[in-house]
Amino acid sequence: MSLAQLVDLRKVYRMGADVEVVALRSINLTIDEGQYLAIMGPSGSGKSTILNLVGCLDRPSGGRYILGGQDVSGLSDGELSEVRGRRIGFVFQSFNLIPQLTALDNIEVPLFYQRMHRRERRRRAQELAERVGLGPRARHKPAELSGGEQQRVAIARALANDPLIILADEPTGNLDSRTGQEILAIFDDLSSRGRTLIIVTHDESVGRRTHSIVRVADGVVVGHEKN
Amino acid sequence: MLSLKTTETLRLGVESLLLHPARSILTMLGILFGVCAVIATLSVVEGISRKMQEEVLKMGATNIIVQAVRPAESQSTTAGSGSGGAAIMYGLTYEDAERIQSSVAGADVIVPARRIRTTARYFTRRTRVEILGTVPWYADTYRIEVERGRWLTPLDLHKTDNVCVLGAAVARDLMPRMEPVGQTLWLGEYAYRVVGVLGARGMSGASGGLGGKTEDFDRVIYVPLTAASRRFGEVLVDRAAGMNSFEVCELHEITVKVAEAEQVRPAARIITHLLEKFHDTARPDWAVRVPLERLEALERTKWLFVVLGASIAAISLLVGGIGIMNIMLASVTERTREIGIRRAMGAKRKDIVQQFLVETVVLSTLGGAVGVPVGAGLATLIPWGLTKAAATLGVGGEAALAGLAQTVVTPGAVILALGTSVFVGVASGVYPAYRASMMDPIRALRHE
Ligand SMILES: Nc1ncnc2c1ncn2[C@@H]1O[C@H](COP(=O)(O)OP(=O)(O)OP(=O)(O)O)[C@@H](O)[C@H]1O
Ligand SMILES: [Mg+2]
Repeated sequence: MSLAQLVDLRKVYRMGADVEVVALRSINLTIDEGQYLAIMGPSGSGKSTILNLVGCLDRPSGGRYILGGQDVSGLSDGELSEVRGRRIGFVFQSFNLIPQLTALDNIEVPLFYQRMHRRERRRRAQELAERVGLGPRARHKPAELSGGEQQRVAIARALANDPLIILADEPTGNLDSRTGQEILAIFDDLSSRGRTLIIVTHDESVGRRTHSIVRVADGVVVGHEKN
Repeated sequence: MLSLKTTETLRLGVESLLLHPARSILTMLGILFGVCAVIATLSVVEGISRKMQEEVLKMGATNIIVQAVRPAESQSTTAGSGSGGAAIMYGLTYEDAERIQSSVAGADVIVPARRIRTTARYFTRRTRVEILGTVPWYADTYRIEVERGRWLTPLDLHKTDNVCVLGAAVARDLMPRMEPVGQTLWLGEYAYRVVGVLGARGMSGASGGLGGKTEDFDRVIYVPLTAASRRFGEVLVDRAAGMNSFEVCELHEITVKVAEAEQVRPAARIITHLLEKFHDTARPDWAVRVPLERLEALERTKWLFVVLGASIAAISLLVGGIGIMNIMLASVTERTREIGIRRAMGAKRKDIVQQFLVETVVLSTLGGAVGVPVGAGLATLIPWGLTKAAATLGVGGEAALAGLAQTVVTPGAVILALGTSVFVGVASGVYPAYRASMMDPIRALRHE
């Protein structure tokens, strides 16, 4: 069953009066439930732009985007925030944790905006920290954690609201290869439990761990390989 | 669930402010000083105003006081009854009192009074006093409170008895540490029996309460009007003035009391008219004083000061508000990435607005809450400092400073100060919070 559908999706950035950057020309892509997908392609090909659109961080310039049976291409800013909060989990290359909050508090952030009760939030955050193998480090702030630990926190945070899709933009880009492998193992595990995941990567070996690789170049999909 | 969310947002704001305690406190100071200024000004103004009001009210808000005014020396009329000195004939008469009584509708009480300055003696003790010859109902009109013994009675008036009631200071000076009631003292060459002693009343017109000379209520001896007229006669000799000067004056004062405040002005107009008709207009020897008008003038003056204080406070609150806004704009830039993260995690624009607005409101409200007691403390220090300074420099005007001695923090002033600080918090937070909320999440996430 298809979870998300990108139909002839376009994204044009307007820079100044008449300079336009066409980031995505026409993207057609179907993401099925439980799929483990890698997006690969040269730098500037539009991978991050696709992920931002799928994650409802941005709105397409043209085409349609259907997520969970709902056309979200024309939603308002507030509605998109709602969709992000409930249905999307983000993992970033640079972790993007809030520095003044502890690991547990960071995991709670998406729950806060879903108005979950404080005590329930804390319980859920502890459970998730356990799940990503954070252990006693959960009460530390990001600056006191290693890159791998920070990315574990980010994954726990992405899982907090039990999203439809987890989107990871080069999640191992800032990690050494051994730590990267540990993080990828968590993704593999999540996939095996039925999670839908999209990973943007430059690394062929990362791509080969997934179910299929979508190759992008110059704002269009140029290939779709099953592993 | 709104309250749950509000408390959570509040907690978030407070935690964020606690991350930079020094910065938060410094930012708060602007509002603190502003609120301090509001409270201090308002409570000093209120204190002075109440003090002056009290003084005016001692004169009675529904009273109209007609006073005899001694005309300038050059225009004096010589009466051949003196021995060398010039006698001045002036002032109010019993006829005046009767005319007023019959012409002023709604005049409750008319109190004629005579004032005679002389020396009171009790055995070897002497003190300068003012004898006030008056009628028993003077007590109601001027809210006289007898501390010991009794006040003058109609019988005293009728019998022309030599009885007197002492002001607090007179009793203290002449008969310290003893019971004055029942004693006999000498007023000039006449013996008077003390029947009562009044509680301390203080000065009138101390801080400009009523135009004209100040009067020390505690240095007065009250005697029946009949006794005063008969014993001292209409011709008064003031030996204390150095050379012998005579004055002829039937009544020094007539107080007209009306029932309602609205009647004061019309009655005062009629009285003025009457006196103009029967007295020499070229050489006016009377004056009509209306405490109520003084009270109204006071109220206007008070508002002038309130507006002045409010302007000063407004400027300092404005500066405080700009300070908060400045810090908040810097904080928003500094936390751009955090804003991006929160937006990606589902925060709506209004969540971001609330987050930053809560911070500024908490800061300013806290500043206000601390500013109120500090301002109240400052308000009590101002008159203390001024009194000290006046004493050190040997400057007079203690009477005027006495008005400063009581500062009053009214609930209105506190509400105004707190309300303003909350308002400043919102006003200074709106723009930074709006800026934060309008950031593009993707760009914010990439911000270094
Ligand atoms: N906000 C923006 N304004 C203008 N142009 C943009 C913006 N974001 C992306 N682009 C352009 O869109 C194109 C696609 O960018 P995108 O970030 O999606 O590439 P990418 O495939 O993720 O590259 P990389 O592998 O380097 O991360 C690029 O040419 C980029 O310069
Ligand atoms: Mg990219």
